Amino acid sequence: MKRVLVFGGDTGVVATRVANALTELEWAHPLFADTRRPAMLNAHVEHVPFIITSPQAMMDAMRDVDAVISCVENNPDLIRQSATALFNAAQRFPEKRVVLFSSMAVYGGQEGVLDESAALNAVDDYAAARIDAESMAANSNTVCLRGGVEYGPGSARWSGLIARLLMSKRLGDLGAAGDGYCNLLFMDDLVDAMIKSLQLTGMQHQVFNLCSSERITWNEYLIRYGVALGAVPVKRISRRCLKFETRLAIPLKIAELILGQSNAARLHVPAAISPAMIRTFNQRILMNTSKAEHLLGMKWTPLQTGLQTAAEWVRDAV
Amino acid sequence: MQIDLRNMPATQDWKTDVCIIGAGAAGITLALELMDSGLDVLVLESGGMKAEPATQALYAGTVSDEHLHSPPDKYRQRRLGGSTTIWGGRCMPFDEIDFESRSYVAHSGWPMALQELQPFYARANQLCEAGEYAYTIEQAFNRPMRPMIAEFHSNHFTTNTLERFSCPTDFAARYGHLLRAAKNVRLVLHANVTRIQLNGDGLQVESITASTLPEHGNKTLVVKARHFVLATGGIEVARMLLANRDVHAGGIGNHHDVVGRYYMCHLAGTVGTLTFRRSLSQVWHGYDVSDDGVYCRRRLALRPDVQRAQGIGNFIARLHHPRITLPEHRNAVLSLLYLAKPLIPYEYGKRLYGEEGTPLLTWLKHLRNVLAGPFDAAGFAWHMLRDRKLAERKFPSIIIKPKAPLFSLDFHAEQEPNPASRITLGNERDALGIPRVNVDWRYTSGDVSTVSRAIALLAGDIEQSGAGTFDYDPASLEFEMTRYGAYGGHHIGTARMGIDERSSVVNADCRVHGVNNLYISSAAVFPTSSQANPTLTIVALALRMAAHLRNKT
Repeated sequence: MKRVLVFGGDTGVVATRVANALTELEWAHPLFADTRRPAMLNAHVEHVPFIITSPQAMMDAMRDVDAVISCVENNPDLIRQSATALFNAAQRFPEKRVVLFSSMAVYGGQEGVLDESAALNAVDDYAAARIDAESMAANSNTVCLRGGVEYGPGSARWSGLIARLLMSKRLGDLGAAGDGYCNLLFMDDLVDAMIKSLQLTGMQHQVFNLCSSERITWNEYLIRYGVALGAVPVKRISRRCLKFETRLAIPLKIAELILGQSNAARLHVPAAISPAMIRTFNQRILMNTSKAEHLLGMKWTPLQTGLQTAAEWVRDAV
Repeated sequence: MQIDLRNMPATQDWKTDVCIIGAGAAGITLALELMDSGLDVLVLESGGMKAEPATQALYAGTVSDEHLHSPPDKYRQRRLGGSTTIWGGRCMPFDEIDFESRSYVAHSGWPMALQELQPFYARANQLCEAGEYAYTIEQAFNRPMRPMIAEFHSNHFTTNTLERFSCPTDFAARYGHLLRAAKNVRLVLHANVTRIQLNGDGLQVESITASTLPEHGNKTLVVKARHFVLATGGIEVARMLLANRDVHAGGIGNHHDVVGRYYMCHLAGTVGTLTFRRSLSQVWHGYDVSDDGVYCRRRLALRPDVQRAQGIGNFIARLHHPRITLPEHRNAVLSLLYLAKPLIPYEYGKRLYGEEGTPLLTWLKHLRNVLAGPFDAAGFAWHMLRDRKLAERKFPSIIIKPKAPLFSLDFHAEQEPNPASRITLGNERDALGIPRVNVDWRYTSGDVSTVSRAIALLAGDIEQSGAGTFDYDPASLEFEMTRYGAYGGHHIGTARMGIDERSSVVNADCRVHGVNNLYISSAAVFPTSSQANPTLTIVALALRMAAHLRNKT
């Protein structure tokens, strides 16, 4: 039985899903590290209460496991601090496999078809934190998984938020503003890649791009997801409207922060469409995933299945 | 990369893999599909980012019968995006029968079947932003839809086929940013092709020469390429082939005097008074919006087996608002349009009112209609402002629900290929010294027969099904189908596709017979015109050509 330490901090959505998935496997015993036990965590997952940014706590925990999966998601400070603690401990246990969840954000504003050898380029603090974490992992037995746009159940941003915006007709067919490629990664495929990374042997420090091989633009994603959600007819969003949205983004973000203490009040604040999100919709970047397909044996969930599943998750949540 | 030839040195010599002449629907599609192909692509566009009178004037020419055809510089745009900057956006694929050689349609038959083009239509639909490739009501909607005409059953017509509407997409505004960002594409503006230079034996294009207008210094670009694609409209294709006579005396690809002949548009008009016995709620002549947000409209389409049995061409019709001039429609909006006649420009007024006078009694009846429905008129104005003027996906046309179940019939029919209908070079020359065109558009008795027999069948079906009556004057049909002349903007057949070079200009790959590296991507290559508007098929053929060029190189 392989003891696998999983942590994610903050929302911990990916970490929870990985830990739950590991309970289904005969060979794995998942331990979930966080100060609190998430409500969605499977009862069979052992909860290990500790602060993931603490070097000593991480060292102690790592001593007691065979492998670690780091799924820290959005917070740049947490990404850096947890990576510092993790790879400090990993130096003491070089034989133990680490799986580090990273992001396509490390490629910055580059365009074209990019494989794992492409230059890294931080355009914001989040990307810089991802690059920092990957560089800390450089000399260890770590598999870095550069995820695309994660969607599906649990994806608050690319399934949940997008659904709200589609249903309120603030997003839709974006015309020329939506010609960027949407490197979609279904949540279950990410979980699968993490588990496969644990199982494969002889893989000293490897990096994999992860996203579906079905190459679609953001317009196609938004239209097809809108149809799957029943947010029809999907609206054509004019350049004028998108420009207005970017101007609205900062006031909405401020309102969200002010009302942040009250979940009930926050629900009534329309979600912001940030300029960064609009830039993403137009970025012509395509991740080459052939390495993940060949070495990890990745098989991607068909897009239509993923969209239907995401739409059902949103409907259930509503 | 985008370059303006006006800002370049006086003379330039460039080499490329594929040189595309014209950046309209076909040229932009080709360039888009050759992005990331590994091929170096050069696109030469005569115009700039906006309409420019001096460039547009290069399209001017003469017309043999001004009643039958609009001036050659109308309905065509010589600028980046070409005529997609002004098109209406109606999309539909050709029908299977359109590709067949039909004994009753002279000179019909394509050297390919619909199946060969079918794989490209879905992507063409996407590029035209016409949504999913679904052209029947059953394919496009997974919910029950109201019938076009309740309990109307016809042995001759179907009511379930659709036309789908593009935004309408201006290909320059929509896709220009992609071409400008593409590493392998150079887009050159203000580059007017003045010469296509063949080699000595005439089997190969050696180079083409492009130039700015004299007012911009006649700056010149000579391009050598492995492949050249003429991607201009149907009239300009003929002009360019005919005007280059230094190696082939009759013009390029014109050994058998075919270039410029078989010129087709479509036959279109609005006829009769269709009175339904049922209430208005039983008739639906408006747009349905598909889940992906596209306006779709049903039409009455003449079945292929009926076309064969009757020996007539392809034909469709739509329910149209009643003739504006008839106050019996009791519609405030139509009556308002009638009363506004003095304020409406002649070109539009001619289509709306014909050339009828304005009797006082009729005028008063229209005034009564307006006074009876002031809110209808205001609502219509708001709808047009919100859903057409301000919307990026525009409401496609004026749809007015009459107060009474009274309509007219708007038809769009195939014109048969006719060698006597042709584009030739005139005596005048444009600012660059290229001969201007003369348009001699003609129709045949077969064309009149297509329209008259199809309408007679439809009138009979309406009567027999008990749906209502269709009153029209059979004797005036020929006048009605030519009332406004050839349908504007559909310029088809002047460099037709075929196997035999004695009766065609390009082969099934759209390569000019006898010239190894010159292709044509345009409605000019259509051997027949179908009932369908040409843009979707132009784009589909451009996609097919892009695949061919990728494979070839």
